[in-house]
Amino acid sequence: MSGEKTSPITVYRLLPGRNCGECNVPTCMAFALKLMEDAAELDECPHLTGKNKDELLKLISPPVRKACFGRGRILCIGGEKSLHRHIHRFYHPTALGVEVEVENHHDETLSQIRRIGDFKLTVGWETYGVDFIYLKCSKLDERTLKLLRQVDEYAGKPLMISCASPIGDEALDTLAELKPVLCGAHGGVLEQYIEVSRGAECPIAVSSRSVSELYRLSEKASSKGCQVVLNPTPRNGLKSLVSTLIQIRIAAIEHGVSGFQHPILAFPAQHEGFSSSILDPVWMESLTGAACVLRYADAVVLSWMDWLAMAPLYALRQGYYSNPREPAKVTPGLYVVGKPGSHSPVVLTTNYALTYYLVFSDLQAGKASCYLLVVDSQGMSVENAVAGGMVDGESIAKLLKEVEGKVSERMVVLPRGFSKMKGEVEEGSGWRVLIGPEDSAELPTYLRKLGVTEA
Amino acid sequence: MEDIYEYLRPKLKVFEQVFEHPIVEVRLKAKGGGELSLGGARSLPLFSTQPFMPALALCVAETVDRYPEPIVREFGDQLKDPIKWALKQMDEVHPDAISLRLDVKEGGWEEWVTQAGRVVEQVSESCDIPLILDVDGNSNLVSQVIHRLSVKMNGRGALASASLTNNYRLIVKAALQNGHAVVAETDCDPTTQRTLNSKLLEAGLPEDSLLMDPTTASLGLGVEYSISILEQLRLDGLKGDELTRFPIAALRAAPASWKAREAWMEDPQLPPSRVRGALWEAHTATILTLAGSDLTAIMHPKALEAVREAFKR
Repeated sequence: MSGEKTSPITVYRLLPGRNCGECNVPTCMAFALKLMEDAAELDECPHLTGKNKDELLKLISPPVRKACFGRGRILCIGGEKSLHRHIHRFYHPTALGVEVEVENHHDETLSQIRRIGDFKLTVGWETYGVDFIYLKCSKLDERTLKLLRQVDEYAGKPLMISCASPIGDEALDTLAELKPVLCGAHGGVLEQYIEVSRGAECPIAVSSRSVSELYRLSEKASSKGCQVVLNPTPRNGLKSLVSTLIQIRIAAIEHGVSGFQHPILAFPAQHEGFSSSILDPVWMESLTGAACVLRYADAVVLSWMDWLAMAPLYALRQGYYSNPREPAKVTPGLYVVGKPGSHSPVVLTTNYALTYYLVFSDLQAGKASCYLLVVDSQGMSVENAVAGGMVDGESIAKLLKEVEGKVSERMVVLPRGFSKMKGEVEEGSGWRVLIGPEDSAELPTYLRKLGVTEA
Repeated sequence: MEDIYEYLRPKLKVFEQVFEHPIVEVRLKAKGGGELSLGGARSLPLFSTQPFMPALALCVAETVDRYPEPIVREFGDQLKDPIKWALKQMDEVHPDAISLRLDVKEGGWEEWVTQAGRVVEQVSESCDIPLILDVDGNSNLVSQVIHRLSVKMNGRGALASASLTNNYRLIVKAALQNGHAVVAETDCDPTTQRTLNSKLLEAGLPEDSLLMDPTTASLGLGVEYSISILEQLRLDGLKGDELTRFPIAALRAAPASWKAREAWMEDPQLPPSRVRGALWEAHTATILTLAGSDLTAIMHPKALEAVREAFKR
C-alpha cells in the first residue's frame, strides 16, 4: 500500500453487501467504515472469502507490518499507517526495553533481571514497567539457554536476543518456546539467522549502518517468510539516527518501499567513540531516545534503567500514542488531595486524564488540602465538555447530591469554564457554588484565600 | 535476485519529504550588525537532506520570582540582575537570542515601566544577539507596555506577546516604527493562529517580520498537542498556505516544563528536582524543535547547552 488514501467505497464494494448484521454492525457500509478506522477485523464478517478477502486485506493492512514476540505476554510493534498523529493516529506505543549483558556469573545477570522485573515508574497518570529485555550474550550454549529460560521465568517479559557467535540447532527448542526477536542479523550471518528464525518461528532484526544494505537484508529475510524488524545503526549522534529513522518511515509510508515496511528498533545510547565534554551520556541517551519515540522507532533499547533516561520517554509516549479522537479518561468520582479537614471545599473538574492530572498536580504542588470531584465528561476537557454538552448544571447538581455524605462542607469550586451553570447547580443541589481561577495553578492560593484549606 | 537490489539501489539513496514553498525567512537584528536568520525550511526538521541546526534562546526573567524554585535555589543571587545573568550565560552557553520575560505590575505600572525600560535598554545594548521582548500580565496593559519599551531596543530583535486578546495593532505599530519582528501568540489552535497572523498582516506587518508561537504545552503536560499543532502549521505552510508559512518561535513551552510533576515532586529516590526540571526542559525543547520550532526558548542554561550539544551531529 502506498501513501494514497483508500476510500470506504472501495472497501465497501469488496464486502458481500448482504447487510446481514452478523458482524454486529447493521450495514456493510458501516462495517467498511469501521474497517477503515481499525475498529473492526476482517474476520468479523463470516461471509467474506477468497479473492475479495485477500484484496481487502491488502487494502486495509497498514503499510508498516507488525512484528510480535514473547510468549504469554506477547508484544506487538509496528503496524503504523501514518507519519503524523494529526493525520492518522498511531497504534502501537514504542516498546521500551533495557539491555542486559549476560555475565559469566549468571547469578549477577539474574539479579539484574529481577530488578528489571520489579522496576516501576510513574509518569503522568499511570505506572509503567519495562516492556521487554534485550539480552546480549556471547554464545547460545546449553548454559546460556538455561539462563534464558530462567530470565523468562524471573522477569516474565518478552525478550530480544543478540548473540556474538553463530546460533546452533540446539538453541531451536528454547527459542521456539520463548519467541524472542533475534537481533544483530548483519550481512555475514543473515543466512544462518534466517534458518533459525524459520525453525523457531521468531522475528529477526536485521541491522546495518547503511540504509541500502538494511534494505537488502530485509528483503532477503522477508522473502524467506521471516517477520522482520529493522535495526539501523548509523554513526553516532541524534540527528544521524533520527534522520535515518525518518527516511525509512517516509520510504515505507509515502513510497510503499516493501523492504522498509517493517517496525524499527533503535538504540539511542551512543557507540564507542562518542565524546562530549558538555553532555552527560545519560542525557544524550535520554534526548536521543525521546527523539526516537517521536520519530518512528517502534522499539527502543536503553542501556540501563536510569530514571533520567527513561521517565521522559514514558511521558512522551503516554500522550503521543494516545488516540486523539479517544481521549484518555480517569474514573469519575471523589478524590482526596492532601488532608482535607472539616471545612475543606470540593473542587470540581472533568475526567479527561490530562485535565484531571493538571488540576491534581497543581493542587498537590501548592500543598492544598481539599476534595477533587471528577465529573464524567466522557473524557472531554472543560471547554469541550461545555461545547459538546457532556456536562450541564443538572448533572453536576446530581453528582453533588451523591457525594454529600462523604464531604463535610457543601461548597463546590467550579472550573471557570462552567461559570454559566452556577445558578442551575445552586438551585439543583442547594450547595454554595464558587467559580475558580482562570488557571488551575492558582487554585491553591485561591483556596488559601478562602481560608478553608487547613485541617 | 541480486540484480533487482542493484537496480533499486540508486533509488534508495534518499527518501525525503520536501515541499515547493519554503518557510519565509525572518532576520532578527542584533547589536553590531549581527543577525539571527530564522525560516527557510523546505521540510520538517530531518525530513530532508537540508542541513538542520536549531536556534535556541535563553529565557531571562526580569524578576527572580518568575523562575521556578529549583533554579532559584541553584543560582540564587545571580538571577537578581537580569543583565549580568544574560551576559554570563552568553559567555558560557552561547544562546542564539535572549527572550526577556517581563510581568506587568498593575499597581504603579508607570514606575515599573520606566524601570523595565532600563533593563530592556541595557540588555539590548550589552548583548550582541537579538532580544525578544515577552510581556505577560493584564492584557490591557501588555500592548501599551510593549509599545513603550520597543523604543528602548534600538530597532533590533522582536516583540512577542501579540495576541487576539490584546491590542495587537499597537504592537504592530511599535514594530513598524522601530523595525522589529513580531511574535504572534496563540493558544494551541491552528485556526486561531491563522486568524491572528492574518490580522497582523492586515495591520501592515511585513511578511518577513512575522513569527508564530502556538505552543503552551510541555512534556507531560500535553506536549502531544503542541507537536500536532506545530506539524500542522509547518506542513500547511510548506504546502503553500499563505497564512502559516512563517517561522515558529516556541518561547513559553520549555520554561513551563518545571510545572510537570515529574520535575518538581519531592522524592528522595529520584535525582534532585533541579536536574529533573532541567532535563524536562531540554526534552520539551528537543521535541518541539523536531516538530518544527525554529527558535526555542529555554530557562536553565544546562538544558540549553544540552539541546545544542545533542543536535551537533
